[in-house]
Amino acid sequence: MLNRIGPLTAVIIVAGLQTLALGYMVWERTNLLANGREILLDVAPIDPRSLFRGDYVILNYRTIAQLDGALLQETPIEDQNLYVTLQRSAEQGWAPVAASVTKPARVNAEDVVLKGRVDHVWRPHADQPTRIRMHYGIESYFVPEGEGLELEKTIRAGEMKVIVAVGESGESAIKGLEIAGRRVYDEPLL
Amino acid sequence: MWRHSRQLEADVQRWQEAGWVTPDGAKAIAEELRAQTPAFRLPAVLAILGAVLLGFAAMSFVAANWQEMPKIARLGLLGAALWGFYGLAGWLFSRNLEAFAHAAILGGVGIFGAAIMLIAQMYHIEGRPPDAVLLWCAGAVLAGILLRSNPSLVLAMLLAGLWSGWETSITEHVHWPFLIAWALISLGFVWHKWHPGMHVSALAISIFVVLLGYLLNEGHAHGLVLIIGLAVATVGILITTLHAIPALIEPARTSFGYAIAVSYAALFALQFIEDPTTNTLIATAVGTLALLIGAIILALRTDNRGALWVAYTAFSIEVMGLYFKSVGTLLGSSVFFLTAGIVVIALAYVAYRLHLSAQVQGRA
Repeated sequence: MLNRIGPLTAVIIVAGLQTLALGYMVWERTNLLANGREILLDVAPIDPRSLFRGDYVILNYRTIAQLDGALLQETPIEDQNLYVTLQRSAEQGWAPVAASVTKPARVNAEDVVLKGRVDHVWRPHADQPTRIRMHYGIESYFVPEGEGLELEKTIRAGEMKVIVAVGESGESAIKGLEIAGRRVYDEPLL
Repeated sequence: MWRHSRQLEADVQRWQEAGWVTPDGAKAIAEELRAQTPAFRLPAVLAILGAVLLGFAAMSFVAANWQEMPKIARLGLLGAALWGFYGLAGWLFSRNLEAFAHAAILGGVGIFGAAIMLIAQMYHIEGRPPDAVLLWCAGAVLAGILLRSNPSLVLAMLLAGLWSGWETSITEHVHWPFLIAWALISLGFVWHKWHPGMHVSALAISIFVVLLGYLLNEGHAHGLVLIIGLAVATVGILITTLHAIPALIEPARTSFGYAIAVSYAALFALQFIEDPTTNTLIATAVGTLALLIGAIILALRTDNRGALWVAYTAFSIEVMGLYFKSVGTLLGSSVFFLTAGIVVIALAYVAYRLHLSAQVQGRA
């Protein structure tokens, strides 16, 4: 191929296509952040020793990290995609009301469908319903250098919420953090 | 290569002294030898190493602190580095410095991988990590095929293995899409007529086939692996000995060695991992030793050094394995050594007879 189209053209094609691939990654994300619906999710305090790996925080979502098996008809298997319908209530904030392995055809306009993946399915006791541990791709947050400890304290005080943008297909991205009702660390698009 | 040509020079001198080669002939051979450039030259090797180091430097950027820069600056830097490497490659091609150009391409592919990781970090993209590896692999294949870059294709094969291995570790099932990536990259090697690449392909597919034994049928599919290995070995030896399809003789010779390795890996698992009954173990061990001796004989007959090396190694591993298995359990150690000794002496006898018959044929 090199002989036919000339090395310079070939080099431009390769660099161009690779740039396009990278550009698409950025575009997909910025589009989601700019146009996705915003939801606020509580994060639970976790053992601070497991909180930091390098300079990112592991976020443990209070309402959606573990699902009740009663939310869906079938029992999902590990690594399966799961669509979780979230509804907003005054006392709980955004909380799951249903889940399914296929994207629900219609949901209430106020509700949001979040796509996640099943990490683990287990039954605590024989007479209890199954529990499903989920992963949404929004579990780690890279912290600006040196601000990790501060964040850790606010999470332990139970004051932090995560602003998540959710796209039409259920894809989600961390848009920012809210501490004590104040929006901090808004993700810049570019 | 150097060693080979040096030895050939000495041989030619000897042949000339013996009167088998005319002085003109010897001169022509020496010129021909000098014209053949070695596949790897030191500057090219150093340039490739340099590119690899630069790639690693870029990757360590992931861990480094570049938080102060705004996102757009980071993206710009990544784009500039990518185009810088490929631009350099284009310029080096135009100056006919192909080896350095290929090093620059490898650098560009490295930057592409680093950029995927950095963008994922910048935008908190978690996704499935193997997907990121697959994207990188695709970029490496693109550069490998379009720019005829063999180092990129080797990197692509490594990434395909990493992608597949990662998927397998998540799902605990065979990751068949690996075969598509493998076929694409292998086609690249065949199209470039690059011999070392064919070994990379053969090695990659051999590992895949051997792992099938541990993944299919709840981890007990070594019999299938053995069948695949023996089938490929049989086809390989048939093509080599019948000289039916000249173009396929060299690939067939290469695959024979790898097929023996795959077959033996399966037999090893059947004997030493699957925990067979004593009778099954004895039967399998006898079959294995017979197969390996057969392979050694065929390798000697067809002058296939690679296969010979594989078969000898497998034979040693087999003998060691049987020894450890037999100590205190199966037979007495002394009986084992007696048997092994007889087998090896028989093997030496067979080799000696082969040597004799080759000499007789040579004289006739």
